[in-house]
Amino acid sequence: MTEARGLSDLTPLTRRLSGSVDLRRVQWLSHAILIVLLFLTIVPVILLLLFSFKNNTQFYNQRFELTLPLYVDNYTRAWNADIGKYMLNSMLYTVGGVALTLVPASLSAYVFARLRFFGKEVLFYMVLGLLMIPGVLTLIPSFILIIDLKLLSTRWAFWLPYAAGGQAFAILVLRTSFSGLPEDLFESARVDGAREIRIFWSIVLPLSLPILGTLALLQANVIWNDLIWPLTINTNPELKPVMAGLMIFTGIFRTNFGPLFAGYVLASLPMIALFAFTSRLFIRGLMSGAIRM
Amino acid sequence: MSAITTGSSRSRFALGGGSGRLLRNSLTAYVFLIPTFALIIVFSYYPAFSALYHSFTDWNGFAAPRFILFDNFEQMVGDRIMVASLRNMLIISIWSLLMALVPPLIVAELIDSLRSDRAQYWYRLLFVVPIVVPLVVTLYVWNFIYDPDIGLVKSIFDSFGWELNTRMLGDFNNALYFLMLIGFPFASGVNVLIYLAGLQNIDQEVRDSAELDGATALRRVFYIDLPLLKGQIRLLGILALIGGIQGFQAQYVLTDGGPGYATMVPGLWMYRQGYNYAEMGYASAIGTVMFIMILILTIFSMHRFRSQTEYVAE
Repeated sequence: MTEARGLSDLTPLTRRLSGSVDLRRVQWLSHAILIVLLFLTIVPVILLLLFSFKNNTQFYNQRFELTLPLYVDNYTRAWNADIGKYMLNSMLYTVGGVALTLVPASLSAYVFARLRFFGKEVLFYMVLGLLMIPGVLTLIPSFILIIDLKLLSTRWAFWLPYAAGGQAFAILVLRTSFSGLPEDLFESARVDGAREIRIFWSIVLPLSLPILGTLALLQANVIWNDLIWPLTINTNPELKPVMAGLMIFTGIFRTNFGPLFAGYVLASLPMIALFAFTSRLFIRGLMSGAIRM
Repeated sequence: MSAITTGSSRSRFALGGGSGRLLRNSLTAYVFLIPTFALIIVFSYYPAFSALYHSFTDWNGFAAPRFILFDNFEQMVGDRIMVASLRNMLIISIWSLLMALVPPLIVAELIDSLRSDRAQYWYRLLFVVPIVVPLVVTLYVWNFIYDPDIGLVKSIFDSFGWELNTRMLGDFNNALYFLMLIGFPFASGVNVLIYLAGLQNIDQEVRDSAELDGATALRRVFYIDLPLLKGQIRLLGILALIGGIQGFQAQYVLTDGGPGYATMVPGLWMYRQGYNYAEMGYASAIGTVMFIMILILTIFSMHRFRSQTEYVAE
């Protein structure tokens, strides 16, 4: 697939021409508007950080001002409430959930994008239809299913439903992405007698790493921040993921928001680190143009 | 982009082999599809059909359900809270559709107008960072912003010496609107990047020559960019509508549907019926109605906004 940026690089002259004198003022204006919007978008993040360094008196009297010295003790208290163990659980659920989402989804997306077979349309609409089922509608039946399968308070009760829940969106996006790969690649491989699984493994996957990475990050973010499902199907404190762990914590610190927000900051660090280290890949995948219908 | 074609996506099929190849392909395809279908049949379709079935029953969630045909649906027509929540849902859905589509497009156009690739990269990154903040944290923070006694809105009004005549989320007539303003300015990072990807896939020469011909930037957006962004708009629009119809997290954390039923929505009403009143049959019926609404809207928007260019499905 041609890189999106390639097209704009082809016509630097026209871009330059149209961007002459009067667009310069617009450049300046664009920056100004973007910075204001960016600031407003980031305000909740700034406030979260601000709140996490306040003790109770400061929180109720000078909530929106910077209070010095920073009350770092909140972080120690949050960390001492087993946050580390919960984060480790969250990592297990996230890594497992993402892998179990993307392996089946990419196999399915491949056949929907590249093969012609009986019942293709019906099967594809069966996948697409999943997007329309309200999550809350299936919450109780899913809970009862987990009990019936004897999975209550096990790690599988996290992995399998997360994997099922991620199928529709991942298949939709990957199918568009795989469809965009040039047909010649496939024809020549088939002429050479390559089997579909080989084509999938050695042609499709290597060419689709950015979009796979993007989907992995989006799904990781969903699993990491999920709250309702862990609270529904897990009663074992040893298996709690971090967001559910922090929830119990609101009971203890009901009127004491400092440690709670410090806990949320700590819990967000792994996702922030992941985004920071993979931001180029993430943005490249999002920018590949496959996320459309 | 070589595989894009216009119009019928069937033309390529004729080039494929005979029925022998079709049969062999079918077998391969089914093997590839097994993991996905095993997952979704057990963990998605089974619970959904279970809910559908129970919407015709009187059921507390655990004891044996009693079949009562359409009683739940009849009850819904006379349920004042349900009717009020449908009205709220309608307002919220239209709003979330607009907010998912318009502000991100403006941000994407602004970023796209920058000539510095470096500046573009940084804006893309910074607009996407806030998505790592869990929703529940964002909601807490907004609750403090709205606090009618010591909140940020109140402080800003005070510092200008203005009178604030509403208790915001505690105000029966305005709570819904303040709830809808949560997330301002709605420049959601992922949507921005999806639009930006679409814009940068448009042939730049077409866009530039339109501007050289004297078209204003606004005309270019309407006559060139928007038609070519249909695929993105459709996906973001459908997801926003689905979210608008189902969503109730903000109500759950902040208002519990109140004051009164000023911010109640079907999703929360269903949750309350199921979990607080153990009326799982009635709750399932509400969920079924929501599902039908989403289904109709999705089918409608798929047909109404069919995209012009489609990938070859082969």
